[in-house]
Amino acid sequence: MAHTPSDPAFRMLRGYAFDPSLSTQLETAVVNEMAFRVRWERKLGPGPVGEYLEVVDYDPASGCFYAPVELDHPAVLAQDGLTPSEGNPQFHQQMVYAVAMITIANFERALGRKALWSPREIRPPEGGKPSRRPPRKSAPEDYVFEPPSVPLGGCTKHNTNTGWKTEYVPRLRVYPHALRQANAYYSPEKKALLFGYFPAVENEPGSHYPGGLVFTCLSHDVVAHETTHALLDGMHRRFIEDTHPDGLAFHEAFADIVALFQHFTYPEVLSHQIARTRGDLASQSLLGQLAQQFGQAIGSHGALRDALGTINPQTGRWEPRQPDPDDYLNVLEPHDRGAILVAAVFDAFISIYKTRVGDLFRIATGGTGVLQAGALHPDLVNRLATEAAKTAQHVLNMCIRALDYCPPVDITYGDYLRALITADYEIVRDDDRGYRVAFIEAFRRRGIYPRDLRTLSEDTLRWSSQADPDVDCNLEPLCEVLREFVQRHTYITAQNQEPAWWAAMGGAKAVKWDELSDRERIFWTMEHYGMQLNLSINDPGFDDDRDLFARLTGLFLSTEDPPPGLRLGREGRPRFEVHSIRPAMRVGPDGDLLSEVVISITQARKVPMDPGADPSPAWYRSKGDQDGDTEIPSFTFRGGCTLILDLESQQLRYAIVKRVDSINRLRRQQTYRSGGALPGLRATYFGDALGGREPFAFLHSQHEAEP
Amino acid sequence: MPTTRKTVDDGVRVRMYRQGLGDCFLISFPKQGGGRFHLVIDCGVILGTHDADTLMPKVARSIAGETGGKLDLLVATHEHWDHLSGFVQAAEVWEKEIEVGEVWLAWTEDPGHPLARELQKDRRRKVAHLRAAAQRMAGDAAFGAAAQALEGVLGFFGGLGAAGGGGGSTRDAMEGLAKRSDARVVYRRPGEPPVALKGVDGVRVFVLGPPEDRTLIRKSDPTRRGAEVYELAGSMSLADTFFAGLGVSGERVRELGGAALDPELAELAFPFDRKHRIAARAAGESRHADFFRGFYGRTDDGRDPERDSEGPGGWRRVDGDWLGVANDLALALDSDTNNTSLALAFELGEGGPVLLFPADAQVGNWESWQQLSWPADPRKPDGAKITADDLLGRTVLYKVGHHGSHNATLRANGLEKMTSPDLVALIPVNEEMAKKKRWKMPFASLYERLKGKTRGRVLRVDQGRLPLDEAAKYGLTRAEWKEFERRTPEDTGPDALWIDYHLDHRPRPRRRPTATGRPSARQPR
Repeated sequence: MAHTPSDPAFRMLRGYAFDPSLSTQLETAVVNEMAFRVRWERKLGPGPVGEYLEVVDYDPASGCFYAPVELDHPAVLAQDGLTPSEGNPQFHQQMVYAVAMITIANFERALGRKALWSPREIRPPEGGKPSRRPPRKSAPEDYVFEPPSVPLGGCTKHNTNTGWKTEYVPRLRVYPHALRQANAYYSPEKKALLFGYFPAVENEPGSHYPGGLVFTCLSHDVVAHETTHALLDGMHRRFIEDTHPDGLAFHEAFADIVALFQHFTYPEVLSHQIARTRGDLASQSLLGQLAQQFGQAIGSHGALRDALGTINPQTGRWEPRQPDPDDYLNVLEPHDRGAILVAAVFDAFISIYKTRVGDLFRIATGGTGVLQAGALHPDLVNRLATEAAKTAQHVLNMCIRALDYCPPVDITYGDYLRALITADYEIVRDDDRGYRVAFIEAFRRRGIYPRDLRTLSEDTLRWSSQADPDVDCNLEPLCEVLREFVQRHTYITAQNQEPAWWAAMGGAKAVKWDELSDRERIFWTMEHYGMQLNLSINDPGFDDDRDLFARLTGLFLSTEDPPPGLRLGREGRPRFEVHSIRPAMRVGPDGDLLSEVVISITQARKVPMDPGADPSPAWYRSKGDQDGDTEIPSFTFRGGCTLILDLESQQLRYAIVKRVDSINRLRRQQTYRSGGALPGLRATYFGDALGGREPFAFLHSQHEAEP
Repeated sequence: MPTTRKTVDDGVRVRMYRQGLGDCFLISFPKQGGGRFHLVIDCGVILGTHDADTLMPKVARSIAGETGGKLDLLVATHEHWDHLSGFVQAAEVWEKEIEVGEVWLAWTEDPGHPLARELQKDRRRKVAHLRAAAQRMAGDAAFGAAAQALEGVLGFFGGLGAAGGGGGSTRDAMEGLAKRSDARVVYRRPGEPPVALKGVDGVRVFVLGPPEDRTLIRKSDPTRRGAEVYELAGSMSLADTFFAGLGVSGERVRELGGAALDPELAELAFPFDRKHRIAARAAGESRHADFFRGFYGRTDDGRDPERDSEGPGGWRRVDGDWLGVANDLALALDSDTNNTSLALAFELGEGGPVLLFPADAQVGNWESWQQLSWPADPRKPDGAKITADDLLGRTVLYKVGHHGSHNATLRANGLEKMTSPDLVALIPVNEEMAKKKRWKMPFASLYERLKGKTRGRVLRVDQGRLPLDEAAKYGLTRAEWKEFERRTPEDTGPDALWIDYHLDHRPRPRRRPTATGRPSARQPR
């Protein structure tokens, strides 16, 4: 038998570390071209079309296709991918693929599980039963599975009761040349990234060839930014709803944070920069300035632009911006507000980096810590770069991991800080490097902290580990479902045997279980057990514990006196949606394996837009029950919770709650939605026509509009 | 406001025509020694208004009847259909039945002004291209809603859009006015000395806008960074690459009134060399046909509206998304045009109440007023000054800008400075029409504030005055409401064409300091 070598771990693909403009500057040309280490995909078709991404290069404005790149072609493999070139569309496809895959890998590494894109929810055709969202309440027998409608597509679950369909989306579509404008965005509706190209502007101080074309798909940071939007949407589908000044700002800021720190994880880029600007190192402005350059490359996308500092027009030097505790209260425009969060995280990163390299400086300077004039020793440069890259990876992991500890709806920066602290505490009990302190301090300096805490410390910032310690709720029925889920989920790859439920729901008729990809199996397993969990909570066997469970979770589950407009299901029971269940396996402080599950449950109410309007159930029933023409302007108000459940001890470790009956939160959303923040002229004309469909397109090009 | 008058007819009358979403105002001042001075500000209604072709002649005839066919002054504020359509739709009445003494236009219409010429040329070119874009978008089912919105914005430039309203464009209307043989055309510039109205005692007109400044007039221009001002000769601008992509023939663009794009530039708009491009039409024969068909679901160029835009995988196609930038360009154009609004303040007697007619002025226009000042006494140019703030503080009638949209009434340097207890707001809005176009007019929180500021004394084109119980919520007493009702008679005829507002006008003797009462607004603060 011939010897078959095993698959390589990585595929090296050359690309721009920043964007092509830096390759034309002598100073940066050497570092601008680097080889990305992209996880090896065995089945990578032309496009590239892999497990996560499908790059389809159609350019509608030019009315043409560009031939798909074949990364598995020996000639391409042998030279680490195509040579970076602006004039070669196949290289563009390679670049987008490489950067997006690295972003995905960063997410998977931090979260310890496969990344999934948000599924496509298909509305029933006109004349069908109206319903805003597919309620998962229906019984299993209401569902049928349909086979993929396109080659390599995902199955569709059809709820015959409501007419809604849920289609699994295996791959994010990427269009490297979809737009002729200075814009790039993630389209939640198409599950696609659309990148634009545009002529460079003469009055920009950048180094673009004036009038020449700029391709957003060739900027590392733009690609990472947009991919992050898609990944975040895959985890928290409700974060794109504009319910709070922090909402869309969070989406923007988070995407920038990932783009920025992903960049810092490439030591080769860092070491060059550290060596070059050694003098600035003492003032610690170097990394800030670096971030700034990234911001410029991002162009209109960057919350970074002015987040960290600006060039002082008098001295011509970069100066860090002083944090202002009032910023959080006063700055409302999504990008500027996003900038506050980016600056806070970056600030924390700098503090951590400082503590990590203090010893290196002392060693290098004979204990004085004062550097001599001249170039830094290359060894020192490399060590500093390694530390910076390592710190960046830690911070990036912390930031991504915190997503599991966020509430499912209506996120604020304060919530995110609490999620960061809690998530990190769960992984690293002993904070000997002061990571958490650094974060708390950086956030506090910008006025970001939860408003409902008595003190600001690590203990109080951590989500409380029991909503109500006196409640003795028997969670066994739920844990039973979840244990089975974790079991299934963990061995999904090995599990070629078709689960009984897949056959029972007609899945086998659509596609054989062993023909599904791992990720699709995971997706349907999560969907299935989410439904099972829903049924268990509604099960008569849980009757004794349901009220206790409601007290623990902040959900509203009682049939008595529901808050006005709450969506009700069968027998007048409040409806709720098990939004997602995700396993989280980790090693506990004593070295034992903890088996936990993260569950997001949401509830919805239909409420009047006007804070003064009568929110009575009568109004809801008479007019609000239908989609479309409601006489009183109304919107969907969501509440819910993220639960972290320990399956061994059957303890609810954390309940992160946004109550659906909260009066304060409702008031705030009403004020916010009915125009507390002034929309642009665009909203006057295009308010409903476009803004709702492509929230990111709107956000990004709007920023472009600002002077 | 004193309430001792016997009739309301001998004061100043402001008539708001109720033709729909659009502006048309007839203001009449008593002349010295009898007779009245009539002036009309704009005459238009939004594109798509039902039966506008019979409605607008009625309005024009009413004006002719009211003025005896002799209009002392006609003001056309800016080049938008909802302000000018009447001059096209009722051209006959305007030409044959109404004599016009003087026409006022903003300096931006002055063909002898270099910046004005530049703005005009730019506008014409973009309107033509955007119309072509709208036609392309209308053919794409996926882009229906956005196309409709774009059409709506383009409707401000008249009936040549794909919606096909027929008739002329706003340009025709504006040029028609400028060429009227009977009238003297005056191009007004902000900050010029207050203008007296011939034969009217004590009334002065202050010209506030449009700003004669390249930056301010483009303030809120979404493509400012997009190389419009600093365009290099022979290079592409964002708009150019977009227009090139539309692939509309030069003839079509010229038909629509613009200049076609240089074919060499059009080639430059392509991102890659010809050798890389696989024309969508021919993609079916290429080596990668299966890939394109499998992942994009079609191998044509997607420009054929007959083709099924759905089908398997159709939901992920991006045939029309790139056209979205048309909305940005249209918005830029629209707000630029609104900013060319001729904004006027009529002062009734020195230091007296002010009627403010800002047309559709937007942020840049409003803000520019802050830089203006006039000597309170023309003989003492260095003496006390009248500023925009003085005028705002004395405003008793505010014609709400841009039909009550949020961006045409400045907050801090605008509405909040209108502190007169007598303030009344006239809103030329038709909410039903605005809803049909999906526009937020009037903008809820602005409307609320207007009601608060005027204590419920708002007049709307569609709804007239607020009923007593509604106005009472904003602090209007029954007696005050009665008085307001007395001053706001409506056309009770079958057409219900207008609603009036009557103000007292007692010209104050010149140069006499106010002895009692509130401090003279002429005093510097």
